[in-house]
Amino acid sequence: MRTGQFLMRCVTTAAIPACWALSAVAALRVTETDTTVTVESAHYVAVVAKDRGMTLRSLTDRRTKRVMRVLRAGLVVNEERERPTWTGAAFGQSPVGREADASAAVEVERGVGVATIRGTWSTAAVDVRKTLTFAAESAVIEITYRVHIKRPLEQLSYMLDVNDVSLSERGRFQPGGKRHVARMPTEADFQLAPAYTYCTDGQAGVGILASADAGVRAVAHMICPPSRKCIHLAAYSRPLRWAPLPGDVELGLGVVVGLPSTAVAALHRSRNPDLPAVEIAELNVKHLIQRTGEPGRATAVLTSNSSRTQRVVLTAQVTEGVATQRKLQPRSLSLEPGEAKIVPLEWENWRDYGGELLVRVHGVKGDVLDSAREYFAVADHFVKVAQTTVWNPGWMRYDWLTPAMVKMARDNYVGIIEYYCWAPDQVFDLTPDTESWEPHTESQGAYRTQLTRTFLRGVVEAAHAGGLRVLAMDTGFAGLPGALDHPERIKYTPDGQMYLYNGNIHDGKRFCAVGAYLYEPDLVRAWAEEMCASVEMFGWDGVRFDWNFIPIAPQDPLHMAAAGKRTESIYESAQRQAWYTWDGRSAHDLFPDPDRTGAELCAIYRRTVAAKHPDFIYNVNYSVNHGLLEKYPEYSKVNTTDAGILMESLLNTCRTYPTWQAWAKFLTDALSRVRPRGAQPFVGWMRGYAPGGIAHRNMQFIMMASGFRWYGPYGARHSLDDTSRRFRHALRFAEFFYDPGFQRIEAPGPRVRVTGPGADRVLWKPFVFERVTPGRRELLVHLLNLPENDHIIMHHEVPSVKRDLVVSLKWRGPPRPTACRLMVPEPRPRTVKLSWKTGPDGAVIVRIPELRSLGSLLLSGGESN
Amino acid sequence: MSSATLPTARRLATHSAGIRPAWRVRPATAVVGALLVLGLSNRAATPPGAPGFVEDFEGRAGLAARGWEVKSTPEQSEWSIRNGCLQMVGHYNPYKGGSITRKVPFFERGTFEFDAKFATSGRRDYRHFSLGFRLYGHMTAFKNYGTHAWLQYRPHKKTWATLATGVPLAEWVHIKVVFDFPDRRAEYYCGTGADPVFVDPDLDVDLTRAGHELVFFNYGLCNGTVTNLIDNIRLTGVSESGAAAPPVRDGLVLFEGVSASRYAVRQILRAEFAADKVSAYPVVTRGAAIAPRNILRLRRVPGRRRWQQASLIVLADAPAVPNACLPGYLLEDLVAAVKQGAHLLVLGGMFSLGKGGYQDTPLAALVPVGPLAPWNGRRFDKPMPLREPGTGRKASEADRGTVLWFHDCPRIAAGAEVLLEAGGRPMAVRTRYGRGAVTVFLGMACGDFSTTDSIPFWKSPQWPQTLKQLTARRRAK
Repeated sequence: MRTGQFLMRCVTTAAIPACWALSAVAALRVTETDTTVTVESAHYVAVVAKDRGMTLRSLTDRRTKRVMRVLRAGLVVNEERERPTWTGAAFGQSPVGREADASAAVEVERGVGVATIRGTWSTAAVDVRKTLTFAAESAVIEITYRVHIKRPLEQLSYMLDVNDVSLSERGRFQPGGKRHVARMPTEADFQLAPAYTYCTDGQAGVGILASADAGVRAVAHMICPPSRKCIHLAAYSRPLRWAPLPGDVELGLGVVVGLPSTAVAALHRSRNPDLPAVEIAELNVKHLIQRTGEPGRATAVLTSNSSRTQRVVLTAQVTEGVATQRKLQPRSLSLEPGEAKIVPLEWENWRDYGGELLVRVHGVKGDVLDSAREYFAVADHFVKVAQTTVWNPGWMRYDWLTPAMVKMARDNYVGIIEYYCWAPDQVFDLTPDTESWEPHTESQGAYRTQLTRTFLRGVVEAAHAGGLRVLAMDTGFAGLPGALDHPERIKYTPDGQMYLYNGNIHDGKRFCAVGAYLYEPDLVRAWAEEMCASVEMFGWDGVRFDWNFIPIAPQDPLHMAAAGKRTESIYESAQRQAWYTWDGRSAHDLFPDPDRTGAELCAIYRRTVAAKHPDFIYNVNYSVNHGLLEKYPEYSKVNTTDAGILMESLLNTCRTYPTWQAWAKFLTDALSRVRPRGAQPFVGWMRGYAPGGIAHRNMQFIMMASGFRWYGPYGARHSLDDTSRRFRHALRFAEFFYDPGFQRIEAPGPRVRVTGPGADRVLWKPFVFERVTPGRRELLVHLLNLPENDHIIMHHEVPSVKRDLVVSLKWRGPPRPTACRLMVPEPRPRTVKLSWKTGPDGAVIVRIPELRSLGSLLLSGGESN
Repeated sequence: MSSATLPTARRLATHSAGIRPAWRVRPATAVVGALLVLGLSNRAATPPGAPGFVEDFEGRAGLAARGWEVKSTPEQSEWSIRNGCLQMVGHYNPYKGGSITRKVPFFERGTFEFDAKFATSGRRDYRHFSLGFRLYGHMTAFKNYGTHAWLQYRPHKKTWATLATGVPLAEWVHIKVVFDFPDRRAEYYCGTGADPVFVDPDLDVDLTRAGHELVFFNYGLCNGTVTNLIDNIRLTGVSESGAAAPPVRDGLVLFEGVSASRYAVRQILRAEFAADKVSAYPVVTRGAAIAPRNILRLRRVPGRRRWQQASLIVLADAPAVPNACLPGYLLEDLVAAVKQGAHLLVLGGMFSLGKGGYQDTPLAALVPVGPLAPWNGRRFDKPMPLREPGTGRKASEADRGTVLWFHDCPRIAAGAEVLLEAGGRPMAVRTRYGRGAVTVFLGMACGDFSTTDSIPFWKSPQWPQTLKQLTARRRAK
């Protein structure tokens, strides 16, 4: 989706000369005190603080005389957090150097109508020369940094946090005219340069301009939480963790103050003369995940950058499957200067899984002025196309935060939101009687919080409006009040005490998660009915349990990860240690066959909810790699069938699964166990990496190639955290990562061989799959380009591009191979058509011209799906 | 004004808002005096009395000039004096984080204390062990993993014991250890409370290998760089003059178990005890209980002076087990306090009496009902009115509410008095014990009353009066 100007209707080129004319008559006035330098132009008064590294202290919009206090401004230097070697520990936070904390050597130069502040300062990581240029005839303060890098950096950024009540409460960001209220800079709305962002309440305004050639990769904006009365603007460099050392980087931007938004748009165009005459400012697919049979819908926002009326043709094309394309009806449009037009698009979806919508705008001669792509998926069984994140009521409990969080999830192609530990009581009350309540759940071990029905419904509605799905998390623990009110429905310890899983006392109030007794069909039915009522109240699309139906098991499957490290595993310990009913009956006596009981009860739960809500999807935390299939074969069968399976026990890539190969092996071994039953695994909560590093990227690629989905965080699109680039690939080609029809070939040696330069640094053996359907056969190999070192959590250089890899595949026909394609994520999800030849031994030999990161080779034969 | 510009005494007050400077006479120190008056040994020890070592990091002298020896490289940790405090910048360097050492006088009994400010930077990287200290051979360290905890190392068992959880970050915290090596006892104080967070009655410490030195060290296990501040270090030996006369018994010592809030003891007895004479000790869960065995502990424990002050001790659904939730030394102190005149009130619940494991503790000798067993919790078929024996049912139901769940302990000790009953079962029983008394309330503050018209006893308007009657110092006949 391209950056652009949305709903900018009234720009006239006359605006700029008018502004220039206004300022030309005013001289630039520079005054200096012991602590400040003040520069007054026709448009603004800028005060620079000497005691804050000569960064901006306040900006006054002279049209309104409003003084906007600057809370924080200046260059921010984020050093590399990745360690050069593997240490078995997660990465910490990035060390940060701030210009505002620096002692700068500064000189002020006054010229005719121009003033310049030059400063130099240093940290252990950088030497910085900065220039602030103020011109009497301009509303823009030009800021340039020349940074000499001495230590590895992640990124440079310029931040401008402005404290202004009116902008905070009524400000909107141009272009687009939207508010984006979020908590922290990583949640801001990012746009790729060339771009600008200008926050105005219709009277005063402040913004940042970034051209394409000045070292700024993206600009970002957000309105800070309402209590802070502040807006945040920023400009970011490209990622620098692979920049040569020592090295030099430039970052140039403009801070603009005191113009009408139309004039700022005109300024942006004047500073970027190469902008297309008409651009696609936005392309929005209505629903990220569309239901099967639902028509696809999208809107394209076209904006004219021209001073003349522009006649254009808009064409659109939908691509599904590997590369099945169809064109939508072209549209002829006319745009007046500065006009923005919203064009609705609609198409029929032909098949499940991922798709791409490509929109182009053509000039009168047929030349392409601009293009944009967006991605979507089609599935009722949404766990086969989407990644998952978790929103926790400890922080996600404000109405004002919902739009930004939903947008960020959509922007990252995260289709599933798990809303964590929200219920008044996760066993006795999933349908709060009151508008407001305090969840009493496992999380009270950490915090207490307050929720409202209106808020929670709002979250689900906003997610649904964007085509996302929301899971209710249910730990299966009773809250303390519910436990005390229902002593006969609680588990007891051998001491005769209620079984307290965890808890805490907050502000004198005691919270506990209490083990619930749920092991009778009627109790499970009642629990399932309560979930049905909760679906009707809030609109949940599914549930994510820990595990709740096996009567004898550790209370949290995560702790299965301890198995093998102790003389007696926690599983064995739990097996040995019975819990009791309120009257002292041992679970061991009551449930001699816990596997069968678990299977029966899980089936009752799933059946009961499905009877009322057939699309409701069951998700559960489950550890394949600790022998659970063997321990509980019946339960596992019921539990994993067509379910989302969280394998939390496989998350520790810092230590337990420290190499690419080890992690891939455990993931794919686990996949092999659950995929035959249609389960869709996911792994996480992922952590310990540095966003945007090779460790992060390849972890996500391995996860996808292993048929797993991500359960973890993500940064804003276009930020240093480039998760969205992997997730859009996973969404677009979800069929080839997540279709249970692709069964893994666990010992691929006899059938597949990969040779060629650098083939030893390509990970592919765990990722060989085959799908056989009537009349069709497909052989799929995911190939991951590895860096030089095998350990995951450490710094890696970008892996060298592997060229001319040769993949030899033994095809077991019929039918004969008819097509071969490579699906790659760069620079966007796409397929490359490959030719093949038959070798002397009958093997199909395919040459892959280049492999940059992940490539998914699909050799197919027979009728097209 | 920054703390660096303040005179030392005032800055200390800034560090320890609400905490009295430790070298002023304070009850806890006096307790130690009382604890330690016996058996002072002279095994090459510095005589007690004046402080043996004080360091406030004020003035211009550097660390070396003050007698500190830094044993660290910049990659391990950096130690410096900043703004009148010792600053430790600890880097990731597992188990080899560097240290700073100072020779100090040796005391067999005494108090070691300092102010600490944890993670003034690097808070998000503060995972696992960071700052630790070792006095002679006694080592403790601070670890942020789920909760910010203070841990004690036990060298003979080679294990760590948790002393305190929820230690504040990024604010000044007063840390104090009152030690008595000959008696193998140490009390650990953290923060503003007058009570220790932990008492170790069987101190596992190896003094044979360590010199007479104080060491602060960086454990080096955190994800990244963490900065901690240390100030106002003081090591004092204990003298006999620290002993204090036994106080008047006018205090409430309240152990708040899992359903304690339903009994509302503190609120109801607010008028009966001066605020500074009420000390409450909540039972908390520690970590996650993966297997069905609770992990319970007291968040803090009474020092001996609390016991000497106690006129009423309440165990409100407070368990003695598991994990020695009410440790043996504490129960011995409790029993002694009752013998000497305190009144013990036991309030029932799913963690009390037989469910609290009282039968295997010194409490068994005090409690005038039986049998005590884990599974003697019972439920009446319907809520039964709580009443005094021999009173009219109708009136008492309206007054005192009803009981649904109770401890079925029909055996009444000889000489004990039944104060209340419900459904023909004893609900409150009192007996004498030494110069004190013991009252047991057998009702449980639990059960589902929603399908009945009955009022649970703890929600009855009469409950405050009932509780006051239970706590009255009326003796058994």
